[in-house]
Amino acid sequence: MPFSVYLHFPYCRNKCSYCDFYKELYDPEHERRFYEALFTETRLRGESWPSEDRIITSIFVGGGTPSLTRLDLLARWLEELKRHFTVLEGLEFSIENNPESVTLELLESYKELGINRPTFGIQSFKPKLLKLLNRKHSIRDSQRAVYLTNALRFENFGADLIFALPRQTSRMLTEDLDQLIELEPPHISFYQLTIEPGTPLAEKMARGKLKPVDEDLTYAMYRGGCEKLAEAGYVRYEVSSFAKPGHECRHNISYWEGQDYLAFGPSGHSFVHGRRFANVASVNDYIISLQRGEYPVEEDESGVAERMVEAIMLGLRMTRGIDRRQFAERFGHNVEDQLDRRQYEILIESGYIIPDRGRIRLSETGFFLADEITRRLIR
Amino acid sequence: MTHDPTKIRNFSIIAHIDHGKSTLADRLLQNTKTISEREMRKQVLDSMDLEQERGITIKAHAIRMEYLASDKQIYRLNLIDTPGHVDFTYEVSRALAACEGAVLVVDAAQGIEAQTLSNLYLAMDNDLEIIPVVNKIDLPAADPDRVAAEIVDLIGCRPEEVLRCSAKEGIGINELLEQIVKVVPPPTGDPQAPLQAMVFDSVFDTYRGAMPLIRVVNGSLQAGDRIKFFANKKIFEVDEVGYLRLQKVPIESLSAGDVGYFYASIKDVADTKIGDTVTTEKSPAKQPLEGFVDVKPMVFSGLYPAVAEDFTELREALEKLKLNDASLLFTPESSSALGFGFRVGFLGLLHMEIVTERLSREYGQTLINTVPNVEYHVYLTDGEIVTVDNPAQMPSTQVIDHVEEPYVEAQVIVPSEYVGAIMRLGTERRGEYKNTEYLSTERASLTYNFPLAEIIFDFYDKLKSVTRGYASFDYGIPYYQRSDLVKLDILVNSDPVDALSSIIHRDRAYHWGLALCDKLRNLIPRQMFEVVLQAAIGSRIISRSTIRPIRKNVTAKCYGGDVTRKRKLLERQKEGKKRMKQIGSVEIPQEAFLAALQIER
Repeated sequence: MPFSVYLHFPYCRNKCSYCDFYKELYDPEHERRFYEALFTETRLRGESWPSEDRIITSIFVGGGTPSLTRLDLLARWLEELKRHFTVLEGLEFSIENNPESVTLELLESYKELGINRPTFGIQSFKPKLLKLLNRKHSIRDSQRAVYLTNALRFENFGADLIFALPRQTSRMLTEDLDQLIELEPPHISFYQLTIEPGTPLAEKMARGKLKPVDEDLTYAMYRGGCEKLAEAGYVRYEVSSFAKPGHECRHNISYWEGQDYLAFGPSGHSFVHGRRFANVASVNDYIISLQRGEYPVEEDESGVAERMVEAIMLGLRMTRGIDRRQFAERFGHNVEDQLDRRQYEILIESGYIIPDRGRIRLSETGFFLADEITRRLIR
Repeated sequence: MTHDPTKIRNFSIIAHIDHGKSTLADRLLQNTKTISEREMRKQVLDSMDLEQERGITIKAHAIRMEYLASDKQIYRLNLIDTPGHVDFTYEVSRALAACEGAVLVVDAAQGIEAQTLSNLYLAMDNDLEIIPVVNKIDLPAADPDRVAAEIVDLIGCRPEEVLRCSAKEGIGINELLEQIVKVVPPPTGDPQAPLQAMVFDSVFDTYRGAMPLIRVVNGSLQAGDRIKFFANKKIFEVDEVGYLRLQKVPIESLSAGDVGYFYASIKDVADTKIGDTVTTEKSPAKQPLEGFVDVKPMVFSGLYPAVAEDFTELREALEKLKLNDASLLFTPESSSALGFGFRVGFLGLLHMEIVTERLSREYGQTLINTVPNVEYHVYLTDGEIVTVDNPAQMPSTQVIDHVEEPYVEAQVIVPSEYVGAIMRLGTERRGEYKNTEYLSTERASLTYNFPLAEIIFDFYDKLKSVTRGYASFDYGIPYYQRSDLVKLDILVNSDPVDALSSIIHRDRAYHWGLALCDKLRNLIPRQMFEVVLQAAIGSRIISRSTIRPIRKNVTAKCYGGDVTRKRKLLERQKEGKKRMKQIGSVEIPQEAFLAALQIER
């Protein structure tokens, strides 16, 4: 089965207050050692991979702040990858960027390497909110990054915008959206701030220095945002993902549809041949393990029951919903049989779930309650 | 070997909680060398973990000491320990009935408290000789003269008869032992008469069955005797008699005046009722000793497993607890809201807390318990009388002639400045004021009749808060009295929730319905649907409130391929919500079923 590849670049220059992805502070020497280990990991994977099954359909470099990477090392990794696998010509190849690190040279190098989909962590255009998030870029940085991308004729790129920030008003969000839409990115991730345990933001909140955002305001922001984006021609294909037609992120869809993906780098999560496993969330352990010639992985031992829960959970987050036939083919069970029947009926009756031809999907109001609905539906 | 009955002294120690009863008992055991220093564990008599934790005695005990008195004679002292809580008033009265004397312990700093009084009255009802003791004289705040004066006023003794002790420092212990020998009369009773022995406690041993603790009043008892209980006429063969030190000491016989235990392969502890009389089958006594009452539970609550599948486990756990606790009654019941569970009867709120705590601690049960209620006597128009221990079972108003509820006479002791506060609290709780007596110029004792339902929960906390902790409170055995009561139902989206029904005085119903709906509104989380809460008496809706639906609950991030984490989060939420009860499409958390307990009256 063809698969997607994710690379986790584990370094940042500073740590954003809301982020709970694995990262270390950037250090060039450390980066070099990381890449050495990455080359080993890639070679080991390549050597043990079944020979008939080597087609890569998309690549996504996330982090961390991958726009900090030494490009020659990234190029060497690609060579290593191509030595063992077939990287399809013109495949979707994304990389995450902090606006302040975007330069003309960087984008030109991306083009040379075949990277065709940069994404920019703009998050907001309000200095006050950026400060709260501990982001280091300015409005100018964001605008310049997009202008440069347009100038270099990237046909596809994305921008991220956060809402439901403490101290953010509806009006601030509307202005943020207007400014972003004006830049015309083909893809927008418009997502609600999640206060993750252990982050500086969560700590501030626990100490009472920040108030949680009102539930009704959050609803209004999301709903208003969705409408605004729809007017501007963006189609919502998943809870937080909006795209001009034809610019949906294929890589993310592969996660949500239960296709195979292989991750490299610390804390990368893989789903290959029905197995889920994760690399350790520590660059040092990752390096040590690979120096010994061992995969730095932790297995998720769960089985088919958990796979089905995941398929329901991820499927309902997508506008198109869960494909009944696909579900039955994948698991040998009908999706209905995996649901709490009583809740299913209540939810259909109250108009939250639409049991369409061949698909189970959420209605517009249901979409806002996807987590609650999923929780009620699973057994 | 029979002991000269004139050298036996049977006595109890009575005190308000924390006045030092257990420490004093420990000192007596030490000074009589009943236990060595090495065996000395703090407060040996309180052996259950829960007892040690809460500093209260739940079960009665009896321990024998030998004491060489100043007259060079050896006396046999039987110390019968009594439970120290109002839920167990009857047990206390039986333990006291097994004695001829009582040591009345009063804290030198705090003075006489409500429990001191109620226990003293019980002792006087049983014609016991009282030995007054002021304890904790070593405390910096001690005022032994003032407290001694209070005692003199109360029992009418001479000031020099009040002993002064510090159990903690070991002061005055020998004087107390001498006083016990001198003041407590030896038991009377005829060793040759037919056997009459009173059960004052019973504990259960998995291997040997029930072990009743008895006071032999007349006759004697030995292994091999076939004995009969008066209450249920059941006959058993005695296989061991003995007395208690720290361990059981088997002996040949117990005779008139003695205190001890016996085994008779009694499988059910409920056969050994406290206060019952034991006699022999061969030459039975003509009548039982006086004072036996078959105690009935006073407080009832529905206990339901949080997860329906645990029903059988809960039943087994309750059955095991009942082996050692004959006062625990339970019958299966079902609730449309909570599924299958049990209606459990308790002696009082503390008993309920102990049982539910043991169920969760020792048996790992996760429980939902409904708001505790009392038992009502409902007189129907056709002349029938039904008892109702579950508000949901209240007959409809059309067929009710009138209803009676249990009342208790209660004693509240407070510094005089708080008399006004007590009066207000008394009115709030539908108390009928009887009288006030002044123990001294600073302290008053108020007597009230209260509906039991008004004092079984949060009354004590309330009392403490309006008097800054200075009030003490105790009450007697309940009696029934007519009241104007109605059943209040709670409807969730028009479905009545049986587990939330309550029985309440008509004058309070409106306020109560309002407060309960309001409380529930805060306890039931917002759902995907609008939730309408209503309080109703019969078909009349008296209050209504709504919970607005949530409109957004979807987490933003699902990137990076870490699907496992999101799934686990979801499963954890699911697990958490499993504890919720489903009423129609509404999920109700467990806490909601106890909402009534949080209402300010």
